[in-house]
Amino acid sequence: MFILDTILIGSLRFVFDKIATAVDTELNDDTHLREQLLAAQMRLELDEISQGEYDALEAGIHDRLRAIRERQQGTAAFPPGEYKITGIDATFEGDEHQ
Amino acid sequence: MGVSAARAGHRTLIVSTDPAPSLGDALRQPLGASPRRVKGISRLEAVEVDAPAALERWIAARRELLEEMALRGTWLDRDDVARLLRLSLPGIDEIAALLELADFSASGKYDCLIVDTAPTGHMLRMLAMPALLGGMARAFDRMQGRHRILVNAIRGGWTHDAADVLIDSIEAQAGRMDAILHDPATSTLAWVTLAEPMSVEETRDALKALRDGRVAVNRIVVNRLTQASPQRCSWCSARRRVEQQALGRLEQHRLAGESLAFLPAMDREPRGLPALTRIGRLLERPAPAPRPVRTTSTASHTVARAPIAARGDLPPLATANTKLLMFGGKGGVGKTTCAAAAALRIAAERRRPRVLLLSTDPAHSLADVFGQPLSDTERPLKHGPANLFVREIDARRGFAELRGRFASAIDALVDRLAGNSGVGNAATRHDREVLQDLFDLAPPGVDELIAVIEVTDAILATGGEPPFDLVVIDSAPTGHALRLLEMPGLAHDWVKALMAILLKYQSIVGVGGLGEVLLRLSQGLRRLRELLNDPARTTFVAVTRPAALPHAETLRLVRRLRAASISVPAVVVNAMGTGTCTRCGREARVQQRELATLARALDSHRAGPSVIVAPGWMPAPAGAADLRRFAAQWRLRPRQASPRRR
Repeated sequence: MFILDTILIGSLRFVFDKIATAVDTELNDDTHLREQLLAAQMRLELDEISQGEYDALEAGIHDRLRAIRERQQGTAAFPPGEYKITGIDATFEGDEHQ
Repeated sequence: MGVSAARAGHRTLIVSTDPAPSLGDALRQPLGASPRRVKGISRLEAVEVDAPAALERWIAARRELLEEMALRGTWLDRDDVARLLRLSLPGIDEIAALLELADFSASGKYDCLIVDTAPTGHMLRMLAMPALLGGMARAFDRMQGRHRILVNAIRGGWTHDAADVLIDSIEAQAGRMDAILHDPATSTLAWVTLAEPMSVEETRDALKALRDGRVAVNRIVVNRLTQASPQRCSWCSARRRVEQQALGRLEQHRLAGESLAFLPAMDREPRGLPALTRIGRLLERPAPAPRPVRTTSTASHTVARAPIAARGDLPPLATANTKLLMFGGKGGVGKTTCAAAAALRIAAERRRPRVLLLSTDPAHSLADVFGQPLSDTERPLKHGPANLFVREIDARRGFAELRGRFASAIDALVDRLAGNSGVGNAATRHDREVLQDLFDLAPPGVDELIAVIEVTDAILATGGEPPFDLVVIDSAPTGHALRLLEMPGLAHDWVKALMAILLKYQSIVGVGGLGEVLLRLSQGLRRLRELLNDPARTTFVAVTRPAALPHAETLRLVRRLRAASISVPAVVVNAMGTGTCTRCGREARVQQRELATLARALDSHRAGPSVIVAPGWMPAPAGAADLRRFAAQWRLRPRQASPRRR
């Protein structure tokens, strides 16, 4: 049981770490946004999206890039509705974990 | 040579590998992509290679195995591979030509193959094709490698399968081609030139490249030599003087094993079996070198008399909106001289802030025309207008830079793939090597295309003033000029297919640096295609001579250009005019007849091109001052009184 619980805890921790990384990337890393912009330019070049659709995507990406820049410079107030994961507390019940 | 070989009892095949062939015109018999018997003579067949069809046949016979190898050796799926294999390959004439030659050679039907190759620059490229085919075999072998490892691991052993047999056969074919080209016991090359300064300089460069490429040159044939005239004729004397000087230079460049043969200029262009038989006999017997010409003339140039009733001003070759003005035509008609003269004239009009004259012919001649060294960087001309710049494209440099950017992008892509999939170092190294191998197989002509994209970006600035207002291009001879015009579309199809595949796998590997490189390339190709397809911004001037073979090729060229919606405002008939002796009189009548025939054929098209006549010069104009005087002597030939219009 100890082994199984350890595996379970390890798995959950792995999942939570991935979520934390993904959210942190979304909020603070502009690399993937630039990739998304490049991919949108490629789709426009291939006529997979219209100029209007591209313009909308580009505007959205630029807004998010601006937000990241402002957070990095510490000039942005924390927008309502957004959150930041600072850590994960988990409690496990059972004799093995006391 | 083909006629002589057949008459000597050898089963002979004459093969034209020029994408704009004139072999049928010379034989006065239509030819096709399969060998046809030449009428009037036994043991002689002739063929004009159809490169796209030849390559399609080769691929079709191997498509299933090529797909299988691509699936085994890359992470592409069946749809991706099928998509790529459906695309046409740009720049394939040289590969297809050699594949056909190898097949004809292996057929056992012929004792002797006589090959009429493409003009210099592209003929030299053909010599590198066996190495390219060998590279293909190695790339396929590497793709197959991963599959062999897997099967070995699972089954404990590997046996040669159909894909391995295909790889071996491609490698063998590359070896046969290499033997065809480089074994002096079975293959020799006869170089044909004219006794003119620019032709001799081109011969010098070509001989060096051929020797470096281990191709045996056994004979240099100097064509169209002027014979002594019994009457005093300043034009004939001038021609003989120039030819003597050129022969002297040629003597300095040739090696002991490269014999010289001389063919006289003839009243009529040799066409048809009787004329070609006579040429063959002349080539068989050793002809004495031309006698030295004594002269007291101190004139630097002699200009032929070209009595043309001129009417009106020359039509503008470039309007205010023209961005790209191309000059093209059969090899040896004077394209470079005419392009240079036109560029000087346009720049001198001062209506264009900055004009770039550019050569895309791999066998550059602009430096010879201007008498000054040139390079791959734009530079002003000595004694030229301040707003004219000249450049000889180094296509290999531009392609090497692109290759470098691709290599970095591929490395990053493979690293991401390895990181995401958790595969080991060996597999990562394999993927990297496969992708690099595939990139190294970029066909000839792609480098010219990259250079042209660079240039058109120079005139299509997306922000701010463009560096140049007009680019005048001295292109390669006809077949390859046409290929340069059709290549953007083919290359664009490939780049878009690769972008679509990369986007498909975006969630796994992202698009990264490779996406950036492909996007920039696609945007450049799109701008270039828009430019080429806009008759208001791109025009093409065909240059020809008043002779039957150039005339026939010019009409085909104009038809192909108009079919591609490229504006052809004018055809320049260069080297018009003769001297005053009896022989010159006969030549003058032939010239007038050819000029009239050409003009009638052009007039029959709605809004057909104007015909501009340019006089012959001996020696050809060289340097800015000569070229300005030459351009000032161009005359517009009046149209027929009541032309037929289609």
